[in-house]
Amino acid sequence: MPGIKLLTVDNEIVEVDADTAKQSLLLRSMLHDLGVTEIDDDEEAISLPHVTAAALRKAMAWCAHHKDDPPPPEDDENARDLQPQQLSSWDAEFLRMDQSALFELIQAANYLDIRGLLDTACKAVADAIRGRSPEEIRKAFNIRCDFTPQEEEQVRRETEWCEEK
Amino acid sequence: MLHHHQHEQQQLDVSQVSLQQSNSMSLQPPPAAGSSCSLISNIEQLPTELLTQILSELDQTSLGRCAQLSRFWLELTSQPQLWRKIRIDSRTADPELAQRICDWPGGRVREISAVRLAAKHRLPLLLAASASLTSLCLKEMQGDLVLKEAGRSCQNLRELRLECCNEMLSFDSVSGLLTGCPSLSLLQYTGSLSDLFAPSDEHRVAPLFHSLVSRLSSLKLHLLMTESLPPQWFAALPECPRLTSLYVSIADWRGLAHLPSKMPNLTDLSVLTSQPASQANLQLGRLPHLQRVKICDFSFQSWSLDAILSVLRGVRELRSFMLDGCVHLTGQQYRQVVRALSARLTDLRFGGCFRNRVAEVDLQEPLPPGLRRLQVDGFKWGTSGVQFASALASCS
Repeated sequence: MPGIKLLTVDNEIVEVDADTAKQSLLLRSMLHDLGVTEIDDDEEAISLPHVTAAALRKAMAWCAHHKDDPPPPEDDENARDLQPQQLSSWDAEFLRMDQSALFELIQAANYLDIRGLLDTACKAVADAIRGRSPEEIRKAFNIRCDFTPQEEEQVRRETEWCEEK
Repeated sequence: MLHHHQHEQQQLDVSQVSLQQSNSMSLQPPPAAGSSCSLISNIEQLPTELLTQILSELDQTSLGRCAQLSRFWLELTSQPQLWRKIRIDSRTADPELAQRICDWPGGRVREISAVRLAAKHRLPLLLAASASLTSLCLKEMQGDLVLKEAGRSCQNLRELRLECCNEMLSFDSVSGLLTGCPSLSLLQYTGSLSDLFAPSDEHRVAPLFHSLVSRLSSLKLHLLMTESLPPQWFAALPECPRLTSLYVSIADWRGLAHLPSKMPNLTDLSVLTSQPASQANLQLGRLPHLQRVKICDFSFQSWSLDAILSVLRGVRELRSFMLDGCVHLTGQQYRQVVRALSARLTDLRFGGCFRNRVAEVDLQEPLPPGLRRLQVDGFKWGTSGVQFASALASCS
């Protein structure tokens, strides 16, 4: 199985399967440009400035599981409107991790350009926001409210129409 | 520390703290991590475009709550592209809301759903600024002003859904839709049809309404129990070549005899009826493209085996057949039904009230391989035909 070496931002060298790595459009174009086909001890690892080793391993595990997925549809606004899709149970279980690990995975998916993983992980965060009151969201994500009480009341009044009664 | 916290001591003019202030967006990426390790401990450290992508998964209820979190989140949620679907309900809408939305996501709103709004809510004002609108849904509203404005301003409108509306279709509003909304292809109405038309206008509107129908690809007229479309209504229709999906309430099955000439390209037909069907007037086989048939018959008269077989055998492309009504099948009749199923059929459901005498031994009749769903008298499986058949085999 051909592999490639990647140097993560936390200074770890992670060896990944080249076919799996090619689901990352960034790695795909890098491998193409470098002409890398298989692992070579003399080969220098490719440096990934925004990706931690843990996030990279997670991202590659996701890619390995989804390697036979059809390519994601073009980002058509109308198609998105039609079908708000739920996470598969595998994805939901896969993304059960602490918040900072999830945010790092999102960051990694974005940098590595893995559309499917980025969409999936963003949905998981949205799912954690949905259905919660502002106070519950602040608590869940450790968000500090910097409104004055009057401002907070005004925003609450002006967004009241958003609520479904 | 994030950029918005730097302003926390500043006295903020309360009028600035508003969802309208999107033009003065000052979102910046969070400061880059100082160390070699990009540990993200807080959601606010994600780049703005990723936070925006997360928010784009949320509906207005969640967006409205996120707007209340902090100044940073208020700015983040104020981005017009997040507010493409808007629902306005008189119970929570204030009279200034239409103006606020006009000033802010304004022309980018794609879908508006309005419930029980009155003149003071000024929905026409919002529609006048919504040239990108593709879908409009009005519930329990009165008068033709809203639709008149839609015809004037919403040239991209594709879908119009109305529910329990009064006096909304007038000569002016329907002719406005005809000239102003050339892409309108879906019309749905649930409620009383006689209430929907402006009373003084009814005779002048009917032909216009028929012209509107003739342009659609999908029409649903789900009328009250006491109302139905008479055969004359179908007879008066011009040809509707684009119409592929039809949902109608009828009392007289003879109306459907007009479908092959008026709607030759139908693929989906749903019929709501209180009149029992007899085999003689069910000539669905004359619709060559028909694939899905759904009949909700609340006449409490049992469907004959022949009437069921006429649908199953007559409709050549049938993929799905659902009959919600009285179906009393003996085991022998069940076997006849199963034998009549074509290889293309994926979904067969008999719902409603039953007095079936189908024994497990009858269920061993082999099902077509493509069948994905079969529902008969409380039996319900969502498995493939093969699994279903083997499951049945193991039942005995």
